[in-house]
Amino acid sequence: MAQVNKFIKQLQGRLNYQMALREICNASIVFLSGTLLIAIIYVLRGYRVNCVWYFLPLAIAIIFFMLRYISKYCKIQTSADYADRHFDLKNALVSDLDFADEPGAFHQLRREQTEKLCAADKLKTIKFKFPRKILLIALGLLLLTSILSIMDDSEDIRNARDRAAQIEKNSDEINKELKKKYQEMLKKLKPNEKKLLKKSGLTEKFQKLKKQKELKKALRQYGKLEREIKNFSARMKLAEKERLLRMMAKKLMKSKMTKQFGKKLNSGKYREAAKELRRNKLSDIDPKNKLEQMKKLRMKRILEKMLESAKDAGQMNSSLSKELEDLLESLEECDELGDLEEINCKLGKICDDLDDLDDLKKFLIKLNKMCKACNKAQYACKSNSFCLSDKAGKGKGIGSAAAANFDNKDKDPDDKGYITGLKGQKNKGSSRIKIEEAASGYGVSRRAGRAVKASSKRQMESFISRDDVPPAMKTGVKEYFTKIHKKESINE
Amino acid sequence: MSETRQVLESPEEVEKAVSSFRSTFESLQNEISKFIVGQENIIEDVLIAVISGGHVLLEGVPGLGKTALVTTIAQVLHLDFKRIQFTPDLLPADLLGTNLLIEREGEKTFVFQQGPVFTNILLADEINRATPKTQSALLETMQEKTVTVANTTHRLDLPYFVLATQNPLEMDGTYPLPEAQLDRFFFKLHVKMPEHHHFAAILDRTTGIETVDINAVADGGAVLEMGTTARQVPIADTIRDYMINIVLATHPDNKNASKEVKKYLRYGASPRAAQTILLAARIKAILGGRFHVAKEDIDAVAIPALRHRLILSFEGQAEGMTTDKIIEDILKNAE
Repeated sequence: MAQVNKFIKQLQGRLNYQMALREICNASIVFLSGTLLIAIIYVLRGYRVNCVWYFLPLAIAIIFFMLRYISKYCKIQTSADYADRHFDLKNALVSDLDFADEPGAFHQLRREQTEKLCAADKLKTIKFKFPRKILLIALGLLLLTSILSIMDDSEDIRNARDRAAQIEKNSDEINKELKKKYQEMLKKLKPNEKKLLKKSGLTEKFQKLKKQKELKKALRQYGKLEREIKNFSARMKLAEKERLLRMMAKKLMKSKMTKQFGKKLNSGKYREAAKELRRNKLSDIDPKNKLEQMKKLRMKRILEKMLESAKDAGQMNSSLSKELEDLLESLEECDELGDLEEINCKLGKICDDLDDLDDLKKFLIKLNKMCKACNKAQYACKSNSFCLSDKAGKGKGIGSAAAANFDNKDKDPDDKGYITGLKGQKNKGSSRIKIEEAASGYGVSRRAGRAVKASSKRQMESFISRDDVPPAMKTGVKEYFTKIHKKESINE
Repeated sequence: MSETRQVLESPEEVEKAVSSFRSTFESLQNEISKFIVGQENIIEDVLIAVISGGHVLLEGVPGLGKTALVTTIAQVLHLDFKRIQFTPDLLPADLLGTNLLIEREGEKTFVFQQGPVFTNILLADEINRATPKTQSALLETMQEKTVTVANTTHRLDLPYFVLATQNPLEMDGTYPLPEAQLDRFFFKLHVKMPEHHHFAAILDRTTGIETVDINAVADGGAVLEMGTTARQVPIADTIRDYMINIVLATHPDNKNASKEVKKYLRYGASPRAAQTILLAARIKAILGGRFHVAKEDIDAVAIPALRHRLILSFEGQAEGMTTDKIIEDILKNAE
C-alpha cells in the first residue's frame, strides 16, 4: 500500500513539475506578448520604450501562471488515472486509491498485484516533452521586443521635446520679464493708484505666472492675464466719461467764451481744464464788478453747454451732470455773499473730479502698457523669443549681413549676366510656410470658414464692448451679425 | 442442484478459485472451438453469460451455427439440454407442461406433466416465430427460474439457461420480442459470417466422414462455482460510477445524454443492464488476470449487454441508426 502511495505521490510530483515547466513557457509567451504590445505602442507613437511598463505584463504573466498552476494542479486521483493510462495498468491505481485498506482475500491479492506494477523506474519513462514550438515563439517575441526596446525616440519626438524645452525656457524668461515690468510699474504708482490696483488682484496673478511646456497653455496664460487687465480697465468706466467730456468739449469749442476750456477738455488734458475752470472762481457778487460778472457769465455758459451735451448724450443721470446742474442752479440763485462759498465749493468739486479723471487716465495708460506686454508675451511665445521691449531694435541683426541678397554687378565687369542671389541659413529657424491639406473632391473647407467666423465674432464682441460706441449702434451691429450668422447656418 | 455462494476468505483460496476459473473457461472455449470455428468472441460471450447465470439471444442469418453452438455448449457442460422450435401455433402449455388427468387404481388424479423448459439448457430456436403469449410464458422461467401451473410453483434445476435464436431477415409471420422479454436476456449477440480461412475449416469439419468428438469438460456445479467466484471480484467506486454514467447516458431525458441519444433513442437501459454489465465485467477481469474490474472490462461487455435494451425512436429507425453505434459513441465520451 505504502509502495503504491509512494509511487503515485512521486508521479504526482513529476507531473506537477512538468506541468509547472509547461505553464512557465506559456506564461513567458503571455509576458513577451505583453511587452511586445507595449513596445509596439511606444514605437508607433515614436517614443523610446519605457521599460517600467514591462512590469505590467510580468504581473499578468505571474497571475496567469498561478491561475493555470492551480487549475491544472494534478491531484492524487488524477495522477493515478494518468499512470493507469500511461502504463496501461487497467485502472489498478485508481482502484487501489478507492479501496484504500479494504479487507479481504481478493483485495490482498489485488494490492500485491498493483505493487508489482508500481516499479519506481517506470516513472523515468514519463519524459518531459519540451514545448519547442512555444519556446521558438517566445524566442521570436523576445528578439522583436529587444529590438524595439533599444530603439531611440523618433526625430519628431526629439524635436517636440526640444520645442517643449524651448517653450518652457521662453515662458520662464517671459514670466520673469513680465514680473519685472510689473514691479517697475508698481514703483511708479501713486498711493491711491496702488490702492486701486490692490483691489484688482492683478499683483497675485502676476506672481502666480508659471512656466509652461505647451505653447497653447503658455498663450492661454498670457491671454487670460491680458483679458483681466482689460476687464479691470473697463470697470473704471474712463472711456464713458471721456466720451461725454469730448462731446461737451465739442460744444464748448463752438463759442468764443468757452473755446479755451473746450480745447483742453477735447485734448484730454483734464488737469489743465480743471485749472482753467478754477480761474472762474467768484469772489464778489456786486453787479458793478464787471470782471466777476464776466466770470459768472462764462461759468454759466460753460455749465449750460456741458449740460446740453449731457442731455444730448442721454447722460443726465451721471454724477458729473448732476454736479453741473447743481452748480448752475446755485449760480442762477446767487444774490448773497454766502452763496459764493457754496458755488466755489461746488466748482472746486467738479475741478477735483477732473483732476481725478486725469490721474485715472494716467494710471490706465500704465496698466495698458502691462496689457501690451502680455500681448507681446504671447507673440514672443509664438516666435520663440522673450524680448518684451516696446522699442524696436536698431541696426542690422547678427547674420543679417551674411543673409543679405548679393549680386555680381560690381565684381565682374565682363560678365554680362546679372544675377541676384538670395542667401539664407540652411536648416535654421522655424518655417514660415504653412501647408494646408485637404481631402480631394468637392466640399466646403469648414476649418477656414470656422476660423473666419470666429474672427468676425471676436471683432463684433470687441466692438460692442467698446465704451465709445453709442448703444444704438452696438445693438445694430449685434443684430446684423446675428442675422448673418443665422443665414450661414441655414446655408450650411 | 441448488445454488451455492461460497465466500473465498484466504488469498490461497482465491488464487485457487481464480486459476480454476481460468483453466475451466479456457478448456470450455477450446472444446467448443473444436466444432464451432471462427466465432471465438461469440463463444466467450455465451460462456460469460452462462457463468453469470444469464440468458443469451443469438441473432444471425440461418446456417451460421447458432443451434450448433448451443448444442455444443450443452455437451461440453454435460448439462441436460432441450430444444424447442418456436412456431406460431406453439402454446405456453407446450413449453411449460400441463396437468394430466390420470386414473390410478381406480382413482382419477391430476399429474403435472413437465414441459421442455424443465432442463438446464433450453434452446429456444427462432423465438420470434411464437406468439407473444407463448413468448411471455418464458418470463417467469427466465427471471425466477420457476414454473407456475394451476397454482403450483415448480422450481427448475440450476443451472438454467435459455439460449434463444432469431433470424433478422425473415420478418413475415414473426412477433418481435416484447421489451420485458428482451430485458431478461443477459446478452444479445450478433453471429456474423465467418472469414475465409474459418470457412474452409468449417467445410472440412462438417462435410467429411470424420466427426468431431465433443467431451464434457465441466458440469453445472463447476459453472455455479465459477459464477460465485466471479461475483467476489471487487469494483472500485470510480469504475462503478463510470459504469453507472454509461447506463444513465443511454436515457434521452438524462441531462448528460448526448445529442445522438436525445435524437435517436426513445428509452434507455434499465438497472438490470447495469447488473449485467457488472457481472460480465467481473468475469472479464478474471479472464484478464486481474483482481479488480477495469474500465476496459466495462467497455468490452457494454455493447452486447445494452444493444437489445435500448429502444430506437422513430427518427433513429428512419435514419437507419443502430443501437451499437449509439453505444459506441457513449463509450467514447464516457468519463
